[in-house]
Amino acid sequence: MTIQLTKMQLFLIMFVMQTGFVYTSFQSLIIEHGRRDATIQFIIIAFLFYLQLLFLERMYQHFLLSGLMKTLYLIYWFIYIISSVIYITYVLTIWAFPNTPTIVIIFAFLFVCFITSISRPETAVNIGVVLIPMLFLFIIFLLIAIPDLHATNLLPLFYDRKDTWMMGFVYSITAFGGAETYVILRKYLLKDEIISNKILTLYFAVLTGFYLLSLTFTLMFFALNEIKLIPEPILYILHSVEVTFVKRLDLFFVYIWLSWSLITIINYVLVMRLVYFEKKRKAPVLQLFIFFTVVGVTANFLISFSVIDFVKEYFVYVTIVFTIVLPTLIILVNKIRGRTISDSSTSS
Amino acid sequence: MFLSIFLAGCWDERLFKNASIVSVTGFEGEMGDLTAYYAYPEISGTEMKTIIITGNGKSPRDVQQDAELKVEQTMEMSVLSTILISEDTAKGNIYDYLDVYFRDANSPITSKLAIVQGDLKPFFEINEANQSTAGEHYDRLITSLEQSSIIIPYTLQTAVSLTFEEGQDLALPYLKMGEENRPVLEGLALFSGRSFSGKTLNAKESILVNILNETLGFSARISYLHDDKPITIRINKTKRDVTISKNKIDIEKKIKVVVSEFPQDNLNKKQVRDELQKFLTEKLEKDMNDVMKKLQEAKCDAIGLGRLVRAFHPKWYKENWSEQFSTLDINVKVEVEIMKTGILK
Repeated sequence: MTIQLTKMQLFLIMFVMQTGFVYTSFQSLIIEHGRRDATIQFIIIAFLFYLQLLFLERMYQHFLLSGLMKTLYLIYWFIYIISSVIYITYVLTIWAFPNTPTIVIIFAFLFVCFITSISRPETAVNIGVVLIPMLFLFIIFLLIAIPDLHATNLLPLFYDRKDTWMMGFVYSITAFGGAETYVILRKYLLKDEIISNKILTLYFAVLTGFYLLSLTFTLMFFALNEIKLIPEPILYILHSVEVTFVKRLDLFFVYIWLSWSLITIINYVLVMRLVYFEKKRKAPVLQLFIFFTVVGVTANFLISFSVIDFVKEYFVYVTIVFTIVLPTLIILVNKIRGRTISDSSTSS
Repeated sequence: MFLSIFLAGCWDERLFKNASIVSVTGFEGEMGDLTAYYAYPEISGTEMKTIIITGNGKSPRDVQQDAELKVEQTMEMSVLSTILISEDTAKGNIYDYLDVYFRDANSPITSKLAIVQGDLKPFFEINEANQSTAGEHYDRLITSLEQSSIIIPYTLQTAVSLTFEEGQDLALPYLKMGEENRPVLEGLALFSGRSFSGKTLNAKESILVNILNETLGFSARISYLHDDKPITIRINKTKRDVTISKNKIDIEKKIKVVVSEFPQDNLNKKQVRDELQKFLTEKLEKDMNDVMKKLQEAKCDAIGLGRLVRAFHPKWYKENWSEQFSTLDINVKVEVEIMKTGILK
């Protein structure tokens, strides 16, 4: 399977994949550990991500996956998708559908993912566009909470440190998971498209700004001791906002986030297809059907508070390995060996 | 994607016609021996009347379950507009009684909260006699008092958030039963941490707290007698400057006002205006300092000075801020400027 991407398409897919699952919940753990320094910790990690992005752009030609690496990455994305489906279903059953059987919810949204995934690859590439107006709407909804924010909650910095302060940095990495897909998608960019540092800086600024908005709002809206009790702060802020046109603003966001997450799954599946079916061009309907069935059944079997808590607490370490460590190692090894993507295409 | 929206119509359908829509509830007693009242409207023919249901039990969820045994339809709390808590109950940890509303996504956390003097039951009985829809009375009363800057505008969420906040304390509307069996606002019930301190402010003092806290509604009016003649001002704009030093806080308030009542007139004369400004400055300064002392006695930092100390002078901020607040030397300095005199001079 092959695709051709423009710069806009590439960064839209990246943005959706990086924000999709984690946006509602990443704030809690960072603030719980980093406390009032959470924003600074996040900005430092964001800057490191920017450096990584510059590195990946410069070195993407050397990102070649061996058979073993391909398998490892496919397993990682498979587990990541299952974890995400568990979390999405859990959030939906808590906030929107408390009595609906989880298998029905899982079937409903995985069916959409399946249909999109067996369609032409362009569908998966372009579907993220529908999110753009929704995200603007979400930002407007969030701004309604401004009168209830306390700017003094952001201070003092570097004063109130607990033993686990460093974990604030670790959990900030959660927000930048999925960066590894940049090097996979980069080679599908149209030949005449150039990615300058300016474009990468713009993408970094938009992504970091979008995350910072929710992080600072969470910190300013809740008392520090309260955040520990709130697993989905953004949903909670919207739940607390009173507007005249709708009783529950949070439900609007739940549906927006659901769409957002579905598109994220679709994009991850696209990346998996690009890696797994690199040489084949036909839509693999049966394989995808089996894939989504296994994802759905496993997620339905594992859905529980303890599994979600475990994933939230420990999955970040797996993310560090697959997003930062492995891509860097693979690139460096291939650079030393002098292997590039073009060599690989020639040899095949 | 849109399919998921319609899922709500399957297993999670909740029709209002099949439920008793509770719009006001209240608690009295203590954990383990709690009594709650629930008021909901019932339509019979063309008439709407308010039904009051009582529940007893160990916890807020338990009392609701007990009350549901007496209702022919499930009690629906999603449009709850007001929660009343008796003052004795509020002297305990108020969060224990409110946790139940935060665990269920269907619970509205934008409801109003008020503390009531004495028994809770009479506050529900007025619903039966004086209004068509239960709960509307308290919701409207509290909203209008917020607009008049007499009480600080809190919802259930913002109020409970303050019980977790160390740098600021809660001050909720304090209602008492007035003449003709009509609830009246007494002022503000002052909390220290998560518990009602037992101390209150009257309505005029409550307006001053709102001015100090910069949480003014649409209007805030204060009246005095000047040479035995009334003078009423409406607060137009305020600015607060806080200077913090060790064990001392100076609050400088610049208040711009509109004269809305002054039968002596002649406000076009600078001398009259200057004299009046001086009079208002002295009066407001004294009253605000008195209010600050009352807040300190109640160990209730309702204006959030602790947030400022923690943010800008963390070395002077102690963990138990309410205690520290009560020992500080706090001075309020006021400067009043008359901006407008209405359509008369």
